[in-house]
Amino acid sequence: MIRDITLGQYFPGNSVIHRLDPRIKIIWTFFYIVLLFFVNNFWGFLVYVVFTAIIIRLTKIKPKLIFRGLRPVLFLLLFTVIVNVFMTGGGDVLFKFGFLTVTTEGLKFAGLMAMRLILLVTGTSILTFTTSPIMLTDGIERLLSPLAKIGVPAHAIAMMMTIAIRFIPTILDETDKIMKAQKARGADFESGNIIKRAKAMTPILIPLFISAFRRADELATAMECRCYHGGEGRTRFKQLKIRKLDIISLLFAPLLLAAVVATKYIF
Amino acid sequence: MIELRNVSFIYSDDGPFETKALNDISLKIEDNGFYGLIGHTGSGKTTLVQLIAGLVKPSSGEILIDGVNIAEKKFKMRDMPQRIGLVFQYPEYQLFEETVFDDVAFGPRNMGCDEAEVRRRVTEALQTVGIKEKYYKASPFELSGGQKRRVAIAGTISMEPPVLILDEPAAGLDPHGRESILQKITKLQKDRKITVILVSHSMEDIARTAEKVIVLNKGKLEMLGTTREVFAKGERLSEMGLSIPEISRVVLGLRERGINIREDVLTVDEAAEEILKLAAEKGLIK
Ligand SMILES: Nc1ncnc2c1ncn2[C@@H]1O[C@H](COP(=O)(O)OP(=O)(O)OP(=O)(O)O)[C@@H](O)[C@H]1O
Ligand SMILES: [Mg+2]
Repeated sequence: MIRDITLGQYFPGNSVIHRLDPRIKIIWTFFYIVLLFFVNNFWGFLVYVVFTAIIIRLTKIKPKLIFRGLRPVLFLLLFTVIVNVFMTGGGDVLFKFGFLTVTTEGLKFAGLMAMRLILLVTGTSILTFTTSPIMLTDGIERLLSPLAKIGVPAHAIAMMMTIAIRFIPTILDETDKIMKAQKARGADFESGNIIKRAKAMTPILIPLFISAFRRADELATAMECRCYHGGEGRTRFKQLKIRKLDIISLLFAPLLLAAVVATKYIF
Repeated sequence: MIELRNVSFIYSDDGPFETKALNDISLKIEDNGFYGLIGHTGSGKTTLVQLIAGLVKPSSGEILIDGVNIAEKKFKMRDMPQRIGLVFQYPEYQLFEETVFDDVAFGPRNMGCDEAEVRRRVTEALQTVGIKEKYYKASPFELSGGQKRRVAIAGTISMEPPVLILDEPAAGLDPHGRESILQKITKLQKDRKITVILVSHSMEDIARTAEKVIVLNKGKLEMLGTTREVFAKGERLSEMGLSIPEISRVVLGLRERGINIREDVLTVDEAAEEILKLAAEKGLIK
């Protein structure tokens, strides 16, 4: 189960999407997310699905892997759908069990919300799947650098984000290991009521916290030993450069926007 | 008895990082034996012991423990015919209780032992690993690395499993700590007549303790035989990036120089005895 969480994982590759400048990818992802919230009809989603499918194709990462990232949010997805189905009024009534009514509007709204969530997770996973953590930080840092002038610690924020992202898989690995170890000592995480299960988490959480602190401490020491002292005066081995590919990719943004807007008026 | 039939294990099915960690392993582990498990790093030792302990299910194949197939999908850990105790690599990272005593008691309590029984088991386990009574009420996090390791091992021993698997219990300990932990495990195996599987990178440790040795190479079972049989195949072992105990190499070197010493010598004590015997024969000493 734990292993299904692919968040923060990077799949090395050399596809067009991998080669895009991280700044462009981050801007694209933001644009993708913001625009997604304006999509509210079937055709708009169709445009989005096709667009996302093409991007997935271009990354050359197996779609199965990308969709695996959805498994952990399945519960959230189900919850959203159920709540929306029953709580949205309006439209024709389809069924009625007691106080629960299912309306056409409800179904439609639930469907839209589910699609939105799926696309949201998929779209953002594409960013982390195709961008190495280092590139990602560089991108974030450069995008935040105008804010550094008004005192925002752009470098520190970017560094913290990368470290956090970088350690998600490590911590998941560790959780898996500790869970197995406690299971071998007869711990039972699967039975009992919610309170019992929550209590059963102590033998996992405590070792996990301790090792997270230890790791943070060790990492800080290791960074200091290599003379890390913040962003000031730090130069880069790999310079980010906007190339033709990046400009071309940006040209598709207005196209996507136009397509989405068009669906609103045409249908 | 533990029997593996054509067991394979693949990490992260269909992922980009897919690894066939174990490939078609068949072997039998007899009761009351002391087995050593060796192999180059990444050869699948940890994976194998986790499979035997029922913590993960194999991708294919059967694992029979006293005739019960624990590899079946519907098989649940609690129905395990006999408990298999597994001490993980670096087990000190799983300590979590407020006191040493409570941490060691975690296993027996999960098994449903009453408090008197828990007390007996914990005391015995801690005595076995050589933790003094004054530490029972201490926090496990205040102990030294070696003491933490012992407490963690006691946490498994206290469950009194008929099969005890230890994944590199001595890794990262000082020579004295190494020695003492291994001795305690050997003694436990003899006294309680349990089965022990010891994973180790140290050929010396294996030579000193194990009766039989399982050799893994890149996920495949390469050899399974008595310790002498396995270490007699020095060349094949070194092809796999393994070695034979240093003292065995010394003895082989002596033989190459025309000294007629027994070749299957495994420990320093044995070698000393053989050399003294030879010296006496030649009249060098009395
Ligand atoms: N959680 C995991 N996810 C993916 N692959 C893994 C995982 N754990 C181990 N592997 C891979 O499976 C193979 C066997 O690993 P295993 O840990 O069993 O080796 P080992 O013999 O115990 O090595 P070591 O001596 O270093 O402890 C290795 O190739 C390893 O990369
Ligand atoms: Mg291992």
